[in-house]
Amino acid sequence: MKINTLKWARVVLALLVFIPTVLFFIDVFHLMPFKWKAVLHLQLVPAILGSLWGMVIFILLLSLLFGRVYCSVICPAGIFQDFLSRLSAGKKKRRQRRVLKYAKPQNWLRYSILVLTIASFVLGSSALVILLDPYSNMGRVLSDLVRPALIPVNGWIVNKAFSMGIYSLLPVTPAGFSWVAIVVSSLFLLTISIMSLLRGRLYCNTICPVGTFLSLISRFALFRVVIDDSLCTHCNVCSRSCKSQCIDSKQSSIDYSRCVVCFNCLSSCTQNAIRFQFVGFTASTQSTVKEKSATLKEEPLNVHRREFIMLSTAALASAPLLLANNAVSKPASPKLPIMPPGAGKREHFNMTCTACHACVTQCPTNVLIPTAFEYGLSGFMQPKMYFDKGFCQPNCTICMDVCPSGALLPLPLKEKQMTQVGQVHFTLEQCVVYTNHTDCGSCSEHCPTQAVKMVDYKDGLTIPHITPEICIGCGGCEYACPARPKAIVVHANYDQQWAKKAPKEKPKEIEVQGFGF
Amino acid sequence: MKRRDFLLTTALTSVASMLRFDKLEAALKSNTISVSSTPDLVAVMGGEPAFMLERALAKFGGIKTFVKKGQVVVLKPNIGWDKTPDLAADTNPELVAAMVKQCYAAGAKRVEVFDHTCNQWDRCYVNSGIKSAVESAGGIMVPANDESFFRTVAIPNGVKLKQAAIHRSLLDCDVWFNMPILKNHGGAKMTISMKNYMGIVWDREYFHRTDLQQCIADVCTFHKRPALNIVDAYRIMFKNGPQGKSVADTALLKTLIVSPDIVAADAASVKFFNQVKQMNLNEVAHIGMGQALHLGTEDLDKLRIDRIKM
Repeated sequence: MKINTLKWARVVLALLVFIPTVLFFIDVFHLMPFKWKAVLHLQLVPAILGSLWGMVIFILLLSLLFGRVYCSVICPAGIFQDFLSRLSAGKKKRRQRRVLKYAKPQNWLRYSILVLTIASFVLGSSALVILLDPYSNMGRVLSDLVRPALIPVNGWIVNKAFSMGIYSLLPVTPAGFSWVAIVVSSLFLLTISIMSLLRGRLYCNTICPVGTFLSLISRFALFRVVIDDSLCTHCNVCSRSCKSQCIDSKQSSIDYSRCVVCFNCLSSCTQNAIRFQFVGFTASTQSTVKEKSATLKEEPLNVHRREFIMLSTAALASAPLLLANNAVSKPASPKLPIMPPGAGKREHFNMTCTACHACVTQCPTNVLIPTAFEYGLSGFMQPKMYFDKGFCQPNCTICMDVCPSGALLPLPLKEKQMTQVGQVHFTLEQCVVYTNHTDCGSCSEHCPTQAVKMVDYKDGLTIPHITPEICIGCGGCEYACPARPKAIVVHANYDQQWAKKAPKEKPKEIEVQGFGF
Repeated sequence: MKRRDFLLTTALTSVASMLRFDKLEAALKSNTISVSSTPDLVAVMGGEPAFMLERALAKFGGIKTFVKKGQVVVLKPNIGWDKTPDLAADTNPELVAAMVKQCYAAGAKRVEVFDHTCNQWDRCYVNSGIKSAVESAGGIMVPANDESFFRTVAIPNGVKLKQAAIHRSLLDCDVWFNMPILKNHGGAKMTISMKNYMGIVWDREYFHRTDLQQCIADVCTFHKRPALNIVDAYRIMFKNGPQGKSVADTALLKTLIVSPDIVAADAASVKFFNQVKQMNLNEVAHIGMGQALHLGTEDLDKLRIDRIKM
């Protein structure tokens, strides 16, 4: 039997991207080499937001050359759906009984969603990007559903290891969850699972803005899957194998705006009529080896005119909604969420973060948690710092290193140590020293800049004294404070600032002659 | 006959009068039996950590006084902070490694080292230099960053602390050594041997909430005492402690203070520290509270102290 080399090449490449991506998000054992985070840079939406133009151009060229290979090889949602499709395919014999068949494109739906997403982003809201980007959705599924489920499994394995004296595996603190993120991730997972089990790449061809965007280019691809009309018997087998439902066997034509170049169809044909080959520049989105009659040439024009009218209407209709959203995007509440270091200006962060939660899973001290609407509509599920389970370590830059979209800029350590994400705020009446008349000092102990310093109080006790300008907002004080309610907390800066540098103290030569006792 | 008897009786009486039974209780509790007279506290100055440790231990009869063949030993240094050794936030890694080697030389089966850190535990273990030093010497670094490592035990003699979750390595070992570094502390005023106990418990927040000074003294009454308190004063932190900001907070003093008496060790350390920056013994309330709980004596004049300058 002839081996479908292209398909297996696709599968191998897809796994090479998918497995490190998944492991990176669910890495409960912390065994992943940190350099593997580079695999996240392959994703299109973060690359665009992070101005990684090299990667963007690479993906566009890839799509221009080969069509929507991105959707089969790079997109984690796509590869996941392929797993599910394979499940529903079952044994080879049952492939004959699959529910897939040619379906007409839902252009009005997918283009209006793309236009809405772009228009709303341009007008200042990244809500649709966050909700629809397949990479970010899969990131959330892995961070907020899979990883929490693995933590007890990890705990069980680790306990067994401890009893054998093996300390190289460690328990993971359950932290960083939010109910909103769990619900939204579950909805997405349910949606694409049902869609892919029943209708293959339905999400990719009706909703996904990345897929739709790439479809604008893939229709001009230089290498395409092509049906040789002279050999084709119109038996429909290739249609039934097509996850994108884009092969019209009757017409021996393939819709290249929907083909995800998975090559499944290549081995389905018994007549050797379907091939992947170079076709050169063709204006038509659908083609066969033999050019059809003029009626086919006219159809694309009508389709384009219709689509244009529909797109503009959609844009105009959505404008008021988006402008209204923009007006309420500045939250007036004093309970501002604290952005992770590297976020910079709040607007920049809200517009660039796609809430993929890579930083949430990678934070070694569980400081980051997904929000619900605390950032407003534009900041749905974006992460904030919270100091329940840990505080930001002075020598750590992991969240910034991991962020694939540049929402958290990769600051060098020295700059991160000067970044003020928020300022300390102290309430004397709640302090243990004030209420109990006993020593504490937990806050100052944890302060890396000594913005919180212990000073003489009374009866030999010391009490905190704060210098907010040199505070960096790491949350050490808030985390450590034993009082309830906390006597010392961090208040978020709207935009991140530079902390004032404390005056450098000169080292002195100190000697002692005796022991002193 | 009578003269011989008289001389024999005199000889026996004088020998008997030199025996010190007040140390027997402490000796039994801390796994040492020393019939000969040993110092109560040894202070060494002017050498590298490994050599100073050797000299100090020799005064007590060598490491074999404390560690027997086949025993499991735990060392409890200060590894609380993600700082390099030159910043004097954690115990000198050379000292810890030297102690690991000493224990293995005495025939220990296994030497474990841990601390419940304040910063991210793996960074502390690595950047303090203690992990690589201990592992090069054949010791085992045990994590303490999860509650599952700790077991709740009673502290019946505590005034405000009646129970604590203590690290199981310490609970299960045969003998342990307390190895703090000498630093000032914003809340407790000083962090030396007694304060170092806070790294063996899980819930430190309870201490801070419920009278820090008293809880420090209370936890030290736990029945399993360290065989020795080995105070690292090679490089001390005298301001901005316990975390410190820069090398300007440190002083290179090349000193080691060793004693089985935790109160004496801390009292001597405060007097030593006072030469660098003013600190009175009564400011460090937990030391006086420790004496009140019969953990030892701060009255250094009553003790035999051996001072060694190298």
